[in-house]
Amino acid sequence: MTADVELQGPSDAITALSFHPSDPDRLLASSWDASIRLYNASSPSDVKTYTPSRAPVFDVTWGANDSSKVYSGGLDRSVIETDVETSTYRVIANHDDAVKCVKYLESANCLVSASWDSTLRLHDPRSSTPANSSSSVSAPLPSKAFSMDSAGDKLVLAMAQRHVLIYDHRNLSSALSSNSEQQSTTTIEPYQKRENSLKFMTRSVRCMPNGKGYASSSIEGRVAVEYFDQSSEVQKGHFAFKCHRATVDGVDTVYPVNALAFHPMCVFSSPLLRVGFG
Amino acid sequence: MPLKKELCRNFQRGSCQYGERCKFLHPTQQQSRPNALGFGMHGGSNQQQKPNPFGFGVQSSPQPRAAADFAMQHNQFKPFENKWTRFSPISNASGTSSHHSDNHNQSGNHKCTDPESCKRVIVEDFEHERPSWKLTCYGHCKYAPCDISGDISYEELRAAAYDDAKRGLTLQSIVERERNALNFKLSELENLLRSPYVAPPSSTASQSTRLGFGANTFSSSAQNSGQSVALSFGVLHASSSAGGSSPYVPSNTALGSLSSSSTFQQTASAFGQSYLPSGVSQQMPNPTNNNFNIVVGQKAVDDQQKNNVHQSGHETRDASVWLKEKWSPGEIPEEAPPDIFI
Repeated sequence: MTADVELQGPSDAITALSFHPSDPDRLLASSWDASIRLYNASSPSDVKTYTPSRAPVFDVTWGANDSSKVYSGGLDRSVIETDVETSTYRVIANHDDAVKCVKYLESANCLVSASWDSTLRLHDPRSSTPANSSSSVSAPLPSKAFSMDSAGDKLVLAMAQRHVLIYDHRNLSSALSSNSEQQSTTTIEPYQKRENSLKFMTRSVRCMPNGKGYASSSIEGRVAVEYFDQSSEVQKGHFAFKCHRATVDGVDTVYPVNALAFHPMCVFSSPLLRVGFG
Repeated sequence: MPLKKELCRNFQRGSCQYGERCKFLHPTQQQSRPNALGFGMHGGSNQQQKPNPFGFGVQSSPQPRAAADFAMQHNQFKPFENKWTRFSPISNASGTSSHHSDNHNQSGNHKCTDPESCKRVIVEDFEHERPSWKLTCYGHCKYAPCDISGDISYEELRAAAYDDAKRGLTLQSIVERERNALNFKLSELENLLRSPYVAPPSSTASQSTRLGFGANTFSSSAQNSGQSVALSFGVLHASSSAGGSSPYVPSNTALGSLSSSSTFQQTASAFGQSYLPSGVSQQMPNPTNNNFNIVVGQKAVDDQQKNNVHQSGHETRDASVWLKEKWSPGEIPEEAPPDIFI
């Protein structure tokens, strides 16, 4: 069993972490100090820092498997592509408000970004047309985006007011390709619309590695696990559990669950962190 | 019924992770088995009616009420509800089972035909499940839309701080803005607690829930402020009953019993504390992290119009402040005192 490795973190709070889809040693971290850091777990001193813009970065994701591109979105309202080998940056798209989540969908060949402007936008990162042109498809959301994840062929997006939308990758990729051909507005239909089963603000949502469902966590110290399949048989399997509760001075204190992660091997989720910044 | 099994404590609290695999007794799953036939029938018809939001229609179904009540109550847990339930046995025993059958069809049209049980849910949630982060939305029904909207994530708050700082606002005003937002949100939660839906609950019920509200969550400090808060309750109710504007005007007997109980003052002080953010009476911790966006203010106005069935909720917050003998630095209100206090 290898020992724990400690990596030198950024100078401000970390907003997102992303392991490389195939190389388990490479890790990206985005931060409020506007940097994206690329770590190598096998050589902890090897840290590369990138600064796509001067604004805090909210999310970072690896691009296509064989490419050296990573995508990030932040407070500067744009989705930026960074080439980690050449340290060059390219603005892919813009939103009207901070970009909270970005995700590259390998199977759909499309980059998805969700923002506080309550839109979900799809981009084709291979297109060399400038940002804000019709190479992006935009879908309105019921509310501001807070968290997004994808696995299998589903993309789950958690928003304010406890909304949850689930998209199918195939819809997304067809919307994107039809948009580029026709240059007309295309709409993206969500696969499912839900209200979260948790009662307070959602903090994080993560899909199960087997693509059957997702877990969502909220500020009330609870994690809910739900499935995509709408049949009542499967719906019976929904459950939720309390976590990160402590008794402080005799008072039952409820901590928010800010981050979730599924172990790729295990079936069950392992909620991580808690509490505010940093 | 297997007698050797104990009642599962976690299940009663709504947090049993094991569900069907659980070694202990979950009242629903054990009882449905021996009565498979009888329950099965009810279950079948319940299932058909499931598309009714939350199975409210089931209660008015033509099934015989006597034994079926009990049956229906548990059945509505079992087939559609996961083993997790938020509701304590207290609310179960109320017999208002319709609320528990959460709608997995996700149609989410919760019609609160029973405001009492809804209110109980809300009270419980606020008592046991109060999150540390206050700027949140809230929905008392699992799959239903929010009762209180306008949640702000930590990142938004911080981003708003950055924006405000760029526009040249001082740290003090940024902190003030955020405190207002927090207070407003707290009063929104208060309003919801008192008047979740238009259907009026009994006034005594609303009184008792208010008393219990802050007790567990906040330790009661500052006993002298507790005095003035208790006073404020008395004054407030007197004024509102004089004004006659609110449907929740408590009866005189309720008011009398309130002020005479010794526990009242203690809980009231905790209650009063709950309005003020915990950081206020000390210094505001780490002000750079606290900030607020103008958008929230607008949303707050909308929400206030939506949530304020009666005005006294908002006034209560101010009332306690006005009646204080002495204000600590963070508490000084910005607006002028309302007319009742002049």
